[in-house]
Amino acid sequence: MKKLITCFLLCISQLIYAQNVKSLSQITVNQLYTGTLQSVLTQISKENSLKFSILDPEIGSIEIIERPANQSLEEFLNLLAKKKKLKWYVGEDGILYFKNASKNETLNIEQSTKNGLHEFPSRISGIVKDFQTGEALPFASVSVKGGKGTTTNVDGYFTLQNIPKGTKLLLVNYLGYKIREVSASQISSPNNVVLEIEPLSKQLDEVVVSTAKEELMKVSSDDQISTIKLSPAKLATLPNIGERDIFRGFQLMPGISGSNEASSGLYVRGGTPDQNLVLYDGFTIYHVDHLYGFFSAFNSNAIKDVQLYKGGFDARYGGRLSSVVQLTGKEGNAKNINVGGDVSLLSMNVFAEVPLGDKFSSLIAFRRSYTGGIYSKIFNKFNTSTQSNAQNQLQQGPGTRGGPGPGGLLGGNNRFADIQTIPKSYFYDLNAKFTYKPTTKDIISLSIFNGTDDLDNSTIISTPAALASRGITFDNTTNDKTNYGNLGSSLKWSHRYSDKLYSNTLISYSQYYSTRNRLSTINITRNNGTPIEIKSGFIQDNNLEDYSIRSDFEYKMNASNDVNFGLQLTHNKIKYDYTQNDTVKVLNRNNAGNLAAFYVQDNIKIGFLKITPGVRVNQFSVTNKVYVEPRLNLKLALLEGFNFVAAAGIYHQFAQRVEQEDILNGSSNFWLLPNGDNIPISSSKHFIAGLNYETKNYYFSVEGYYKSLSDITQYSLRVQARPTRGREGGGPPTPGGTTSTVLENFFIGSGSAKGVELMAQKKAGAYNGWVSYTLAQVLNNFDAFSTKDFPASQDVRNEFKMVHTYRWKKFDFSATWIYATGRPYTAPEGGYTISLPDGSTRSYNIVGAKNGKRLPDYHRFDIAAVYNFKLFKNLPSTLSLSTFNVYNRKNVWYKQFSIVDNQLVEVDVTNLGITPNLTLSVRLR
Amino acid sequence: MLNYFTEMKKSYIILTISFLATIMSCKKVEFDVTNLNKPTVDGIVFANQNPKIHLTLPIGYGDDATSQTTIDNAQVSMEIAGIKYILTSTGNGDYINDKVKLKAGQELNLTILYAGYTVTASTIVPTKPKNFQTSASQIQVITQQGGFGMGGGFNQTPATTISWDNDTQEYYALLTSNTEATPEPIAGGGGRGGEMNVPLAKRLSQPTQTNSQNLNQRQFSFYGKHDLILFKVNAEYTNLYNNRGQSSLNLTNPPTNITNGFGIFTAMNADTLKIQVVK
Repeated sequence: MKKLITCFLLCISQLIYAQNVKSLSQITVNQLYTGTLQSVLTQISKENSLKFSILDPEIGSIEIIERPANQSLEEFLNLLAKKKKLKWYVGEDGILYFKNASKNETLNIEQSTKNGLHEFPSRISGIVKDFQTGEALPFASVSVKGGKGTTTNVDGYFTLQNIPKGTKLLLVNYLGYKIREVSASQISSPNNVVLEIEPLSKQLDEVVVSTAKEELMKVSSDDQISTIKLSPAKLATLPNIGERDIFRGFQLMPGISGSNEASSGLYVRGGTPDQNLVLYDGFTIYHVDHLYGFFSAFNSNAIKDVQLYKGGFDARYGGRLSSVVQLTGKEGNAKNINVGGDVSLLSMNVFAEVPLGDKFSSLIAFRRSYTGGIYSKIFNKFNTSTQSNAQNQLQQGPGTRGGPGPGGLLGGNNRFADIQTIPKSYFYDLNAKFTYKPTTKDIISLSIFNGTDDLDNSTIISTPAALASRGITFDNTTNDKTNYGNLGSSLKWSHRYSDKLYSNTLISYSQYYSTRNRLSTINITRNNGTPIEIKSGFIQDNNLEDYSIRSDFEYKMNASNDVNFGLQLTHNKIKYDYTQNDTVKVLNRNNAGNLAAFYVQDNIKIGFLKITPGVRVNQFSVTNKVYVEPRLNLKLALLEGFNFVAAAGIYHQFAQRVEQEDILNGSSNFWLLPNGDNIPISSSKHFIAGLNYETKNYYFSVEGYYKSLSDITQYSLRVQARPTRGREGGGPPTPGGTTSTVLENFFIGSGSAKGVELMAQKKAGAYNGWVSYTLAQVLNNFDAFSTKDFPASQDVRNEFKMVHTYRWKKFDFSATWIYATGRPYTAPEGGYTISLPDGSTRSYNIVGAKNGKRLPDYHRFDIAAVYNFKLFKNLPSTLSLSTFNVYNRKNVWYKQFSIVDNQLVEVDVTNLGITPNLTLSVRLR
Repeated sequence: MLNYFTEMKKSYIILTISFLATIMSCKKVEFDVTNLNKPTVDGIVFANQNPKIHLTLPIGYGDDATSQTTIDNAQVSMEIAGIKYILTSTGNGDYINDKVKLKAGQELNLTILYAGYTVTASTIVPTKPKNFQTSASQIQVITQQGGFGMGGGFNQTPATTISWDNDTQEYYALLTSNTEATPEPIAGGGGRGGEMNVPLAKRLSQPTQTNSQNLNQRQFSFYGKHDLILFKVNAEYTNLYNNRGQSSLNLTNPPTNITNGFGIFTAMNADTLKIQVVK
């Protein structure tokens, strides 16, 4: 622990050590400079430890011959600029930027005109867009330089009120984009301002030491507490296992578990992935992963913006206990056709953006895996583990008689049989979005998402030669098919009634489907021609449908009050079947329910205080009860850049995903509607408080949280096939001779999660990144498991993360390191035997305390290098080499147990070892 | 006014630090510990026999011991149909009362005092199976060459059916037991089991709620005379026998009807038929 704290402090001190840009007027230049502008600037930067960037590549080759005589560097650069028609300025990050003065100021959407304003009025409103593609940018920051600001809404619109008199400059800031200064003289129509900002270019000149801003992650201090924003475009610079994965990116953030390697799901502040509301263009996604949970289902090429609310989220969101992920899909390039694609060792990914006129834009992105090295490695990991798990029931002690012996169905002699496996597994996802802007006040968009996994590990055993020669044919098809996914769509109409009132109305449909087929069919044809068909195994089928309609309104009442209110109606239909032997439906659940929710909240700004009280009221038809959820967010500016933040709220969950006992069967989880009786409505309470300090280049925060959980459910389903005839010798059961017993248990309990998160981030510059440390505890209390509290399966006491990225010439380098305390597990601690009437004995294990032991600590180091270049001299491209788990740490995924000579033998099943990956990405623009 | 705000800001910082300190000052949480000092009851008793149980301590997997330690110093009593009887130790963990025999329908309440633990359990002696009968008195074995390892399942003799009354879907288990002094094994016969896959002279079926069962040659390892013993068993035995919940990934303790201990206390009642396995 001490080592960890020492390490953490060292890293903080390293981050605090910043580049100290000298005042240019204090630097004297007094020598001959000859060569290109590029070489001269390189020389000056070396002499004076400065950083600079040439924004227009053509000016880098301008010839310079100058001998300044005891001039300040500032004077010398002004002289150069005048002679060579250049512009230069010192950026927000202290870097000197040079550009071509003769070029039009492309970013100034509203050129300086005679009608340009002398200063900003007290209120302006408009939209923030991407300069290259014309896409509206959600949740961008627009602020008075050095003063207060606002953020754009989900459609990119903003209204900035209470602008101080005399304000001439505004700043527009968005993650992954250059900071833009907008002067009043560029604005002619303050109620319809269009601000375009430029994404950070990867095609940098070689002399560039740094760019204006290189943020990969932003911890929002503008808007809401415990919010993290990730730049999908910048994900490419991070190491990956095979895919640029948004959810894997979040796992590098403080408060989100990074040690659940086999799952891309988000364990946020002690919550489980199902307690996380995932909204994609306004509709709920119930299935968020691919390949047993290893990859998230979201294609980063189709995502424009991602926000994660780790807790204390406001009244606009509801229906989940822990957190919210809000994904906004790209509208597509509104100016030019663009196509592109990526190919990695895991999948191929293509997209197309097609605008039609200036009112319609579209984007279609498709990704599909192929059975390459990484896919097979992960697929086999799960299936080998599944098989070994099936075989690895705790072995019984000496003298024990198990079930059918090796003389059984697939006992010892099938070595004569021909066994074939059917490798036909893949995943795909499709994102499409069509946006139509009939007027400047209306946006209509249709968004479609479909992600599906088709996992097949079936086997066929055909007639062995010994039987074929006797005229008996035999084949045994054992299915092991899992098909699951999500289909969702939303149709949204956004309307701007005035610069004070904005609305979004949306109808959506979302379907989650999951089918697991483990049916085994044996066909035997005897030499007398009599066919026999025997079926065994099970089929699970879960289908959830969500029909929703919602309207959200934003009303900028005055400079101090922004009111949000809205209404949401959801109809859920959930079906779950468990069919034994293709014939007997042992479970057949059909539930439906309606949820109506209304919310209202006011963002109140009073001086240095911003407070957002709100309430969300839910009515759930199944229980016919009303659930009231008060919420409160608070931000207090204590000193310049120094804030106190706090939040509290009550949350309920009205659809629950229950986990099957076998953690390997990621797909066998299923969704159910609570009934208020043996499946109650879960609820949680959040309390959060913290301090943060932000400068131009750094961000520091400490945040504590406490979350109580009530009426949480764990589920157990055990189906026992009980042959009643003809099976005693281990031979095949006769048809119809099997009955099933279902033992279905819902265990109801409570829990709590608490923790403290520390973070230090360097936000800008060639080098940026962060270090974070989380101290946390998650406890559960289920009477069925223990009379006392016990650590939840996701309880991780200490978690430490480092993320470093560095840009050098055309390369982006990154390295991440994660350390986490091992997760808890339950192990057998003793055993006993019971004598049966035939004189044999059966052995049983005494299970130790629930989650009473810990896996070894988890740690992992990943690196990546990305080369940015232009294919065929024109196409922006990147080649990325990434290595996961560089030092091949054998992190333990789970334990298998066996008892040998009355001693417990634990076998570690490990996670992925060192895994390299190569990704090539090419874009038209 | 300025002082007021400064003080207010200070108070927020103090508030935050207090909140964080409260969270971080994790009080020691007491978790469950496994107690391997409680007795294990191996107590299957039979109608028309003396009550007899076997007491041991569970084996700890971290211990050096290779077998369970027997308990010979416990105080064991059994209330049978309302009358309390003492079971005395005969050594090796066994306790018996040879003065009383159990009868169908009796309620049994077991009490064990050991090392400060009071261990209790209850069961009821089931009634004897009714109308237990067989469709034939012998089963003929047809041997075949080059068996597939399917237990010779394709050339069986017609099944012999055994049946009994079971209108109320009670649980029954069948024991087949060879009674020959020197039994002759069936070449390639079924009925194997155990770790070494050896032919078994006795085989016990899993509990079933049906009222009949087919017998064929694959359920026998030896030729000769066999007893067919049909046990009527209780739910606690069925639950324990069928327990398959101890997978590596989600361990749960096996079901037990013992309070403050491990194991099982249950009663059975049986009827017996004879059958001959012939060549």
